[in-house]
Amino acid sequence: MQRNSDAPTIVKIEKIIDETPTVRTLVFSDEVLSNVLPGQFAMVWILGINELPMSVMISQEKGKAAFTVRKHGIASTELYSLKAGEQIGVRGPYGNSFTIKQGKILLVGGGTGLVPLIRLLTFLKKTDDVTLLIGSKTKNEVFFEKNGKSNS
Amino acid sequence: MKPDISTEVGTIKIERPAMLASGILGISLDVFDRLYKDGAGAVVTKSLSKEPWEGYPNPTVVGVKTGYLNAVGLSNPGAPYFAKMISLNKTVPIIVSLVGSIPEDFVFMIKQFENVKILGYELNLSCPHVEKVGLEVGDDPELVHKIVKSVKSQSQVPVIAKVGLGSSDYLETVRIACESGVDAITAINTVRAMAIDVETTRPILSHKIGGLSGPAIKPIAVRCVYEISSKFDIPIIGCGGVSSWEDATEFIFAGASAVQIGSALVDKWVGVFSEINSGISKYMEKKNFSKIKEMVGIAKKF
Repeated sequence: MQRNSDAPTIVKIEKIIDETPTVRTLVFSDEVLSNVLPGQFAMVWILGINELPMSVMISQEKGKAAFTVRKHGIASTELYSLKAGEQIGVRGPYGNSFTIKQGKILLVGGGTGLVPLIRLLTFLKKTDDVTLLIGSKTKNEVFFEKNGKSNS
Repeated sequence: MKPDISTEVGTIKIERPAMLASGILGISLDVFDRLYKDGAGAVVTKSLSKEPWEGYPNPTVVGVKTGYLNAVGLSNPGAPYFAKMISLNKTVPIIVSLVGSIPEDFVFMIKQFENVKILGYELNLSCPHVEKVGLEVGDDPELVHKIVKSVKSQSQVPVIAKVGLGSSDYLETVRIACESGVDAITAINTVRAMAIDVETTRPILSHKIGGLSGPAIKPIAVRCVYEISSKFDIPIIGCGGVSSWEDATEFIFAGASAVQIGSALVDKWVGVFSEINSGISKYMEKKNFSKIKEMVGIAKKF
């Protein structure tokens, strides 16, 4: 079926990964969003609450995409609290991506702002000289460090 | 000789016939400047209220097959803030859209713009998705009369009333606005509509019901312009689904002296203005029209 990119498509959350005590990654199946470029985002409809712009997260599995959310305001806390099997709406992708230049690559990010950079990592060559710096308020809130290692 | 695509909506003179419709991109002077340079005849601001309004939670806009459905909830920074923001305007023809419930709201807002260079005001009497303003005002003849009268008595620039299809006869709203001294009519606003997500059974818009814009409403809007133009001696700005020079020309033949563009900007971006300007110009040359005025309402002779 032709997808209407201006209206939400409903997907089911399949897996939830606890990244830190306040951050979770929600994994779902969606062919379109599984192929987005690093830096692009989707509008995420939290049913009956609001719709938020979220950077689309990497998933190693084909056909899957994910959002990484920190509980903060009303809508992000609702999204964070969803369980596997529950539904959200997604539309997009929107926005642009990065231009990768020759030479050493330094990626600097913090918290959920790392999402596009982690996705960018998967687009770099194994042979690229990449340094990823992760900023965090406390040790408990460090996440994605494994992604950084496995891709380096 | 190259045809002249400048036009006059009553005493409002603009260099090009297509302007930006209210509610689209209408919140910063930089954007207005860009739109004007790229070919818009004028820009109409997002509707401003006396105080800042937050609007509704998302989803506030959803695409449907034939256009867009929105219930944004008139989110805006408020007239006083906005007047300050555009106070440095020198060159851009700006029409300020105002929304309110009572005459005093409008009078207060007009005071804010006293020393700002603007072309005119457009009174939003037709927003279909916010309570106590917009269509609810447009549907109340007594209130329309009072608001137009007080705005006219205070304003130093022309006043346009934007009408839409509410629960009362829109031609009655036009008649009262005309009798109360309005300088022009913009027709029409979006049309009440909704969309429901089949998978979840939920209305998609957080406000449930919103306003439909885009190609779907163009024939309705053309009919309204034609009817207003046939019944009243008042300049008209056509609005609803204009996305090409042919659409714009159709509105002009129905009786509009200018048109407004909204949804078409999503696909065509600002290029839509120059596309319409050059399309109309070429058409006029081919058909031997030298001024827009010669084309206004000529479909009525049949």
